[in-house]
Amino acid sequence: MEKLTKEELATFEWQLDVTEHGIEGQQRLKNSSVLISRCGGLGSVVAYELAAAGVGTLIIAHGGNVKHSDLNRQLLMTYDWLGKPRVTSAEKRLKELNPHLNIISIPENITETNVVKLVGLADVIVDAAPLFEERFLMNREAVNQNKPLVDCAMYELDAQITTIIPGETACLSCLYPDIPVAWKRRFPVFGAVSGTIGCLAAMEAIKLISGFGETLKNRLLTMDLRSMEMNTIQIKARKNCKVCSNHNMVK
Amino acid sequence: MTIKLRFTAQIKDAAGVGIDILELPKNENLQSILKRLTERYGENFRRILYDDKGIYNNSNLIVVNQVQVYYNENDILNDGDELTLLSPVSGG
Repeated sequence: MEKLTKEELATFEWQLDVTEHGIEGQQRLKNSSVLISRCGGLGSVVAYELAAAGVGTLIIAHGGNVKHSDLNRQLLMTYDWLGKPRVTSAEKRLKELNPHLNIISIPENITETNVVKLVGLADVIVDAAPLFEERFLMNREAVNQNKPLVDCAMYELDAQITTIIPGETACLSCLYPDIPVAWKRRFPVFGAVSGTIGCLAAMEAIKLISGFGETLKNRLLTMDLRSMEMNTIQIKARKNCKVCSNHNMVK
Repeated sequence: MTIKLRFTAQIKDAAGVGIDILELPKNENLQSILKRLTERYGENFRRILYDDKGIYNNSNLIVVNQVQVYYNENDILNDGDELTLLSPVSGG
């Protein structure tokens, strides 16, 4: 495992004092890789926080060019980059924060063609995609490759997050066995909502990699930022889940 | 008996409320309660919960007192229970 440099010890000085994290936890972050798809309202904040925390490699997958309507929430997209590739904007912004970060940027969204390879490159997956088809692909491949996946989502002022550990928890297809009928590609949201849940997703990834704390295993954290009410719901694996029921699930 | 209702995201939009109270006879099961809710909140609400053949759309999560339950288990709810219907959400 690659050790921390003198500069990294200085950069991460404040978080090295976090209970149960320390230098060993920080080294684990440095030597880890996280796949984030996409880098929109959720994924931008996840990537930024993980870059700040010292995760060594980020794999960011996001197709298309920056549009005006990205700018209310996709914090890695900048005005000067309108009409240019989103992943380049993301990479530029992340490198400003942490020039030592290794970024594997893929100017594509998750598809059946790339999902096996991209999940294979990562230790942890953060699912921040807008389409359930992409989410289901990442979930299936995370289960197949036995890798943890943090699933975060929002709508209007509602947000939710859970952490999926293959073999231990319900997977995304346990929660949603079919493509949801009511979901629409465009939905109401503030950047502060996606940013809130993105920070929580980053924290889950940090805990998974460093190895401290309790993650949201078999728990769905829901929040209503209109009323500021938060709930933790016990969720469970679906016995006949088409994705995970044959993967040594503990029922 | 009285149960508390909570709805999220698109289900909340269709119901027009996020929180509500339902008065109903004792010992009523989940499926019966959901049918009552479709009568109370109307067609848009029904179309999220059920398909055209009246089959429940399993991608809506059902939660009783902070614990996920399944539609086909059809639990009996008790006075004071809280029933939450969560609409699937994504991101972007």
